[in-house]
Amino acid sequence: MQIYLPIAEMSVNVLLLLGLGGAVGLLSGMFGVGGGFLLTPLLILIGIPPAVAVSSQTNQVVASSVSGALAYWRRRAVDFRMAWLLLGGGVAGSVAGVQIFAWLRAVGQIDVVISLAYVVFLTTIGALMLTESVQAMRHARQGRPRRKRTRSWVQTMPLRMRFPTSRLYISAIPPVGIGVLIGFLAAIMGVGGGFIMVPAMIYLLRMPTSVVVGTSLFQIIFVTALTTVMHAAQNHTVDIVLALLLIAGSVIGAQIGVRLAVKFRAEALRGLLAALALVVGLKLGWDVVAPPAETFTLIGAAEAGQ
Amino acid sequence: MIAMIASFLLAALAAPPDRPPVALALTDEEVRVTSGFTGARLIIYGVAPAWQAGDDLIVVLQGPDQQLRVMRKQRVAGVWMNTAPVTYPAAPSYYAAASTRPLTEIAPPNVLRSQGVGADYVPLRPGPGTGQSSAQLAEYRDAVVRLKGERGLYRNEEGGVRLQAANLFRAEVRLPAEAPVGQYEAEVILFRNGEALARETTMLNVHRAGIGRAIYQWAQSLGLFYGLAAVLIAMLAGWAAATLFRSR
Repeated sequence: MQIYLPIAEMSVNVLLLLGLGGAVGLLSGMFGVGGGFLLTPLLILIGIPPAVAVSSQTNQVVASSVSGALAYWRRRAVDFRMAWLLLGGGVAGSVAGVQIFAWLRAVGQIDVVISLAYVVFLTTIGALMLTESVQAMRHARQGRPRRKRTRSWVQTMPLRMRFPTSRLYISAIPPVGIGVLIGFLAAIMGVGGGFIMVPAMIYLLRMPTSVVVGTSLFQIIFVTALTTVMHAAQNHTVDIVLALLLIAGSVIGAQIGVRLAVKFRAEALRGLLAALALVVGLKLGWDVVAPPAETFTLIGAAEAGQ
Repeated sequence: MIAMIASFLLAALAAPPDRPPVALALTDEEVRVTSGFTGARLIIYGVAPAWQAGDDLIVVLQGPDQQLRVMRKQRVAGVWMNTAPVTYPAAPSYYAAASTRPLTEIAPPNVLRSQGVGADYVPLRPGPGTGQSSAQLAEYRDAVVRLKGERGLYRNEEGGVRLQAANLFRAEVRLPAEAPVGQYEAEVILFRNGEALARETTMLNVHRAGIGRAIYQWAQSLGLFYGLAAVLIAMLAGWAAATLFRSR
């Protein structure tokens, strides 16, 4: 069954979009990430113009993060003070990101920048998380306690604040800085940034794992909502029909994912997510350096956003 | 329908001799793009009073002009990047040439080129200051025709024009879903002995109907509100999902 996407200006199979949304929802339910880092490349692969894929996908992340954040809120697993700081940075990063997105599109380099951003972040974070989770699993097996935490550069910065929910007393600068980066990436890559924020909160800010996912989801709601509105107002690239189909699929997928997640150990899940990120990153990296089959690209109306 | 064709036929016959002896009547002056649209077949009927045995008819359908930029991928620091853009300020967004016979049998290449007939000879003029040699520009041109062709947007429809009865002809072209909306130009050319004898042009409207069109217009004219609505819907969907599945 085909459906016409009014903004992407093309027909796509409804079941294909529901399936993609479902698969991504499954991942987000299992791992607590938005899954945007997988969905954007897949949408581009089925022929959706990259600009439309990124913007519509951001709107889908709004839905999945609201759904996720509400569940964590009920368990009181959201550090609001930390979330507002992250959000402050996120707004600034998102505004800058949308401007740069528009400029990159005008000069025809948006595709390669999106790909390179994915390659750098997926491979780096994938490798880091994989190493960490393998170590954690090894330690757990040997029954040895994990290495005692050392003071990192984050603890030595000025403007220290108390974060009662996270039981932290750290500088406000790193959360704001991380927020800026996430907001920027949300705009450029069409992702909520959970796959970057979650490791950053655990390893840089040293937040307790129990509040990390909820806090991350909570601030992602606002960053992706803002990014969606800005993309819609400035680039006219949000396809609401595409977004709705992805939302419908991901909502169902997420519920299945949450139930599946209970059957796995946390370290194993992290390792699995890391491996997945690494594979996607390496594939995109290969595409960027491998000689293309077609050396010319058309930058037409849909891509140049007339 | 028959009355309409007949009236056109009469009008064409009654026309003064200096008028081009091809009349063109369209059965659909409006083509609607609706949800579930997978590409339409556009059928055009017309009459060609001057037609004699051995003549050929070509119907060229062109979509609204769009600015088109073509970039070439080159390796920059190991990464394939889009470089060396060439801009065509007014390239047809869609182009189809339907003909009674293969174009190469109708007229020699130089005639087809000068008339701008056939997907290979789509009128494409690069903007100033491309900094490319003419040989390179030819490669860009070929790339446009090839890439648009792969998407079904530049196409030849050999045998797409059929003579029905007497001087009545019927042209059929495929319009892919990707083809943009707007004012299309349909041109009929009568060829005799490899030369264009007469031509006639008609405009037709291709537009979105129903909800798809409403959404598109809304997104273009009220982007901010469209974006706010999109976010609101997404938030409600997320909230509904969280509430619905909580009890289980």
